[in-house]
Amino acid sequence: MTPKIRLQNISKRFAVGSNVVPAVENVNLSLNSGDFVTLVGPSGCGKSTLFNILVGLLAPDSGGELHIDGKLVAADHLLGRVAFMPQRDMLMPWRTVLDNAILAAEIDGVPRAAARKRALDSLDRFGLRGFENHHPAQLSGGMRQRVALMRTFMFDRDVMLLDEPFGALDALTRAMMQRWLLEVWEGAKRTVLFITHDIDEAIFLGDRVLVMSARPGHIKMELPVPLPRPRAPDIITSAPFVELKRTLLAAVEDESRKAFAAMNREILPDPADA
Amino acid sequence: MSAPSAPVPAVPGVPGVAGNAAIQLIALVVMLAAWEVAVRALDVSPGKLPPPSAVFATMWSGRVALAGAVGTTLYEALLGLAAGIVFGVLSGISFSRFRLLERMLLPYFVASQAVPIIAFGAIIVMWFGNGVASKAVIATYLSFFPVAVNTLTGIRRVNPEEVGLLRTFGAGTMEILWKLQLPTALPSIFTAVRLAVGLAMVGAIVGEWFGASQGLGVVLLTAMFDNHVEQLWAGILLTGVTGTALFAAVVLLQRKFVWWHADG
Amino acid sequence: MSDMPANKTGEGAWRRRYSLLWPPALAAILILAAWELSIWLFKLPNFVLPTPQEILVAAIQDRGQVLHDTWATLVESLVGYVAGSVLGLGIALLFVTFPRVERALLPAYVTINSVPMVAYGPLAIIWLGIGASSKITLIIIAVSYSILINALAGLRSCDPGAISLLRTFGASERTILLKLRLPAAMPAIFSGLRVAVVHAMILAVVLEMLGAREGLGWTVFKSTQMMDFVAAWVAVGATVIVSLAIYSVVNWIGHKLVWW
Ligand SMILES: Nc1ncnc2c1ncn2[C@@H]1O[C@H](COP(=O)(O)OP(=O)(O)O)[C@@H](O)[C@H]1O
Ligand SMILES: [Mg+2]
Repeated sequence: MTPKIRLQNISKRFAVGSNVVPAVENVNLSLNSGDFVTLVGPSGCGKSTLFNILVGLLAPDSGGELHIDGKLVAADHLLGRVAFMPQRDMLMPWRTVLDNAILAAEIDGVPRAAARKRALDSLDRFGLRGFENHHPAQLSGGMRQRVALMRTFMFDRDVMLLDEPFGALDALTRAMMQRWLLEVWEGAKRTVLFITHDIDEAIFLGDRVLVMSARPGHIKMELPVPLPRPRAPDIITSAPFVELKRTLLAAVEDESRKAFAAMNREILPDPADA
Repeated sequence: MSAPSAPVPAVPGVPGVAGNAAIQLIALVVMLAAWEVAVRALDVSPGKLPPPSAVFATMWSGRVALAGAVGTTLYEALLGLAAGIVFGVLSGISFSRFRLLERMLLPYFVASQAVPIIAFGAIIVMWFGNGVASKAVIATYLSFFPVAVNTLTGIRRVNPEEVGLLRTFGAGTMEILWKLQLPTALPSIFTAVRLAVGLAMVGAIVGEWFGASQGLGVVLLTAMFDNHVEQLWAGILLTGVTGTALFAAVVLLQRKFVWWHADG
Repeated sequence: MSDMPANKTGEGAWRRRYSLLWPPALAAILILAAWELSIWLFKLPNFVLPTPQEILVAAIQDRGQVLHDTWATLVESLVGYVAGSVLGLGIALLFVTFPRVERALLPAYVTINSVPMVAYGPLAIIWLGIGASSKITLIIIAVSYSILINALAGLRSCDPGAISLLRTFGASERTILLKLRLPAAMPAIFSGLRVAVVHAMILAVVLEMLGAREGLGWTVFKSTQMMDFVAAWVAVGATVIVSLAIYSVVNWIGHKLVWW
């Protein structure tokens, strides 16, 4: 089966002042249709950068290749083809819940009335029934994330990229949102790439977990999650889960230490640089 | 030359009790009453300071002409304001698009805020004649500058990540402008329009002083030449009422359209 | 970062200043060229639009008159501006110290200022004559108002926690005002002072147009009535320069005093 999306040797360097900072280096990964893949890595390792490349907002450095359905494409070809949910919800304060949810569909050319109707029908699924005419400022953090997710789902694309969607939520809300996301995903099979820095979350949600190295980020480890679906909340205490977690923790811990050391080096400049 | 670098700031809200329209109205009534009593009690000559009752009597007897004057000035100010807003928003958008244009012209736009550009009004009347057009042009250029500057600063306030998100939905330049940049800029555009309302009124009135046959400016000017103090006060009160009404209309529009922004 | 060689930063600052300056300079050149070109192309007579040289030559020839007018307008606006600023600040301090006085008087102040100040111009001329006092009086009212509103907002802006903290140290209300409220209000006061410059200039010029014996506004008015358009342009140009000069000085003082 040809992968839905395949990245080959993708690198991105940023010019910061007179320095060049490599954010990601030689990333290789493929997503198959219907996969739920999670990506963990220390903060600042280039996860968001990788996403920006995958949605067509950033062009990778030359030498890398992007393939969709087996075809080589240019970076900006991806604009409008992948449903992206950025780290911050970015709801528009002047739009109602309903109108925020249909924003992507509206831009996609769906007539407003039709988009609204479709959105009204799926309010229950997103737990937003009764809130359609509220404005973002009236919502809790968890609800705002659901609106942002609904907006992403309403943008009918096979591939969804979610950048730490639950990063800012408290632990209880987050656990509820994870279960809910799996339900929604199982109802409408999409290919999902999900960024998180929470290892439990990565295992609980994913078919596969990718571990990214400290900056410059590349895929350091790829770990299949052979846990059956649907997954019950108490699966996180089961032996296979704990085993996977142990493996991942070791890998991530290693990278976090490197990232931390690199940070310290930046704060206390290396004498060799002077 | 050190040009002012800040954008047109939000008018600091009138603090405390005075923010309340009802209190303002009560203040007005109390002031008029005190004025009436004081003039009568101290026996001030009406040629110096007429009692409000005399002013209102003058207003009533001259109501047709005065209504015409209010209408003319309001028309000039509104025409100028509308044109100023349209041109201002369009230039703000162009500045946000063309960096070089902004760097070339914005310093002058900002500097114009520190200069009584109303002095150019004399030249404008020379160019556009004694009719409505010259006053509308003066009101236009006075309101144009703050609107242009604040449209730009408003658009600049848009988070580039939000632009990115819309682009991933496949949005083009115009869609990003309509759905994101202009709504985000709206609060700061309204701040400028609130300022522009006063400027447009001043532009219309002062424009009339350079030559006109009708309007509140003409009422004020002829009353000055005739030493007709009741008429002069009538003109002042009507100018205040007209300006306040225009300002209130803008505030209402702002409440309606940018309710989601805190400082309404 | 901090141990970067000094000449390198200096160079960077120069480059930055240069890149800030050339676009407006280019715009000025383009505008002047368009000005000249349109006069030449459409054969505009000088009562429609004089050439920049004509204006400059007239300014130099009539420098005595121009300086005299500039001085007259400068005195009116500066006296009114300074007196208005002091008055506005004084009223603000009074209001903050005695909130009851504020409740009684502020609405009246707001009502008076809800009429565009220029509309009082003819009245000021009748009451106070065409000399400087009519201009100065209106400038004082307008300037004091914008200082008052800004100062009130500034004086009220400081952190209530900091006030309570000073109180626990046993500070008097006067100390709190001097040590905490006033410094905290400085940025707001200076932004009021900055805006007030243009108010003062507008009133000086516009009132001179209504009636005066001297001053830039009076010259603009008189010259347009006498169809001496070059003189009108000279006076308008001088007005622009005077305002920018006052503004720059106020701005400079503001930056020196409010460095935070
Ligand atoms: N536009 C940019 N310009 C310069 N550096 C950037 C830019 N975007 C990201 N970076 C740098 O690239 C690295 C990776 O950032 P990011 O992808 O946001 O990390 P993550 O999402 O994993 O926390 C960081 O060190 C960041 O400072
Ligand atoms: Mg990130």
